[in-house]
Amino acid sequence: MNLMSKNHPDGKQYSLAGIRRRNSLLLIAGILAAAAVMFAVYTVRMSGMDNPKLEILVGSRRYGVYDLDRDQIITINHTNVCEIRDGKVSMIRADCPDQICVKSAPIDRHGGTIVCMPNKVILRITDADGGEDTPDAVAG
Amino acid sequence: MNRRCKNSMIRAAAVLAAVPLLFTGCGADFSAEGTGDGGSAAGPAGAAAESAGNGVTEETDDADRIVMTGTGAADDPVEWAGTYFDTAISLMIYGDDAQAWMKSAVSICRRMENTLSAQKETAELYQVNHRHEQTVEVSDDLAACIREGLKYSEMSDGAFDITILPVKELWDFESGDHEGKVPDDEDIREQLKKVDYTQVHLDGNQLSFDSSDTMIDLGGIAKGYISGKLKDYLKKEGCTSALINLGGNISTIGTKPDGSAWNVGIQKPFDSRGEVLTTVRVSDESVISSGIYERYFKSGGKLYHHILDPRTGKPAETDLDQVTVVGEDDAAGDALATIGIVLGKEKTEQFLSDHGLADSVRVLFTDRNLDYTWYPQENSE
Repeated sequence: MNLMSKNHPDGKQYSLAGIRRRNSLLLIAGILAAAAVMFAVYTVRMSGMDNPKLEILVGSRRYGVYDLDRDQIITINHTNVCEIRDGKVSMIRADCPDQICVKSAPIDRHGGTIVCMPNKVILRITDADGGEDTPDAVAG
Repeated sequence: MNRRCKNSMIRAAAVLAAVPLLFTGCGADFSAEGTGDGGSAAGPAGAAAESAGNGVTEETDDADRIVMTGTGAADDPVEWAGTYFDTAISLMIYGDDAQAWMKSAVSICRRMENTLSAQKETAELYQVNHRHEQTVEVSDDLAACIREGLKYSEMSDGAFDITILPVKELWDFESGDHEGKVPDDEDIREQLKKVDYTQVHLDGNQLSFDSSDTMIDLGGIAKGYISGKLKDYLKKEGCTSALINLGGNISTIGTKPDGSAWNVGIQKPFDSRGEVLTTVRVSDESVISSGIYERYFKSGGKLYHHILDPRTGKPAETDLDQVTVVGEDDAAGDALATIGIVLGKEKTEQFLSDHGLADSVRVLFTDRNLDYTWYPQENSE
């Protein structure tokens, strides 16, 4: 290729080299664009993972992870029923005698835990969105 | 030109090499999330349960198994929640040894229930109340908690009284639907005769009663005493960051791991739980509320709340919905919050000033219209 450019009489070797350079620049730009797209997808997925979610544990085992944005009722092992409504999670039914979990305050994206000790069911918010003014606890 | 071209190619090659890495990165993360979301996709019960992996510890060598989560790292505190003395308890501890501390903290709660409960038949206090001799030897914890209780009974001249139990047993505020029955005046009068803290004497660990009818209930101070014990234990172990919640009595150790003060919300009376009236920032202090909205029933259009005036045997006539005490002494906070409801705003301010407490506590009074004021005022938020 170099041989060809050198021997060309009308000095077009520069523009030929220019085309090649443009090609490699295009190639680089293309690869960079692809990389940028991949990075964007990656970042979005990562930030998606950091969204607060409801995690349900039974004993030390994970029962499931649930989106707070989708209203639903979740039955847990036929012992407990929890509900996600308007981003708030509450235990609506439990077959335990004390009903402490059912009386517990709802938890939301700002964090918190509801526990049914007799059934070893734990509802907790992962990656809680602890804003500046979000209380760490509520006295009352 | 050549060199430039070559440089470009090298750069391109480098970028090309990087792309698969990005792909790999994405792939790994997608699959990781996919695993985590298994339950979400499956939704219904019976979704394959899987080990939650790191951070969840289950004690299996105990009848009362402790299930706690977290490692104690700054972004992953060790948390435990459960029930003792009829109270929902949640503890959150940061630190390298947080899991070991948590086990001890939970066993302190269990021990305290078996010591200070007047309702649990196996508890030491229950035994004391059902005594045959009028002088009994009690454990250090029971003695210490009764001593604190007697102190506030005396200070408040009986507006707080640890011998309220016989009257308290006439009332039932526990119904979930806020319906209940008002006891007969005659019964109240009869039981009220047994309520008198001056009949109780404590000398060291020796507890004596002037009357066999006298029964002690530490409900107005035990939670504060216990959170104080938990705080003492954790601080002694070197813990610098923990949050203790004993049924809405919030107690803090140090600061959050990032060094900022704990932000504690104060419940809006008669609103859904977790609705906040205002917030207060604290470090090493407790935030303890007493409110007429916590347990109550309605009968004949009148609200009967659970804070009894030991002088009448009936729910305290008060101008306040809630009294919140912020200070370093948890037992004091617990007792003072109750005293605040019984005495009302004006008398409580006088009480705090008379006993030189205005320097050691801040008190938030929430009135019946949900207006609130701090005392002393210069410390207001």
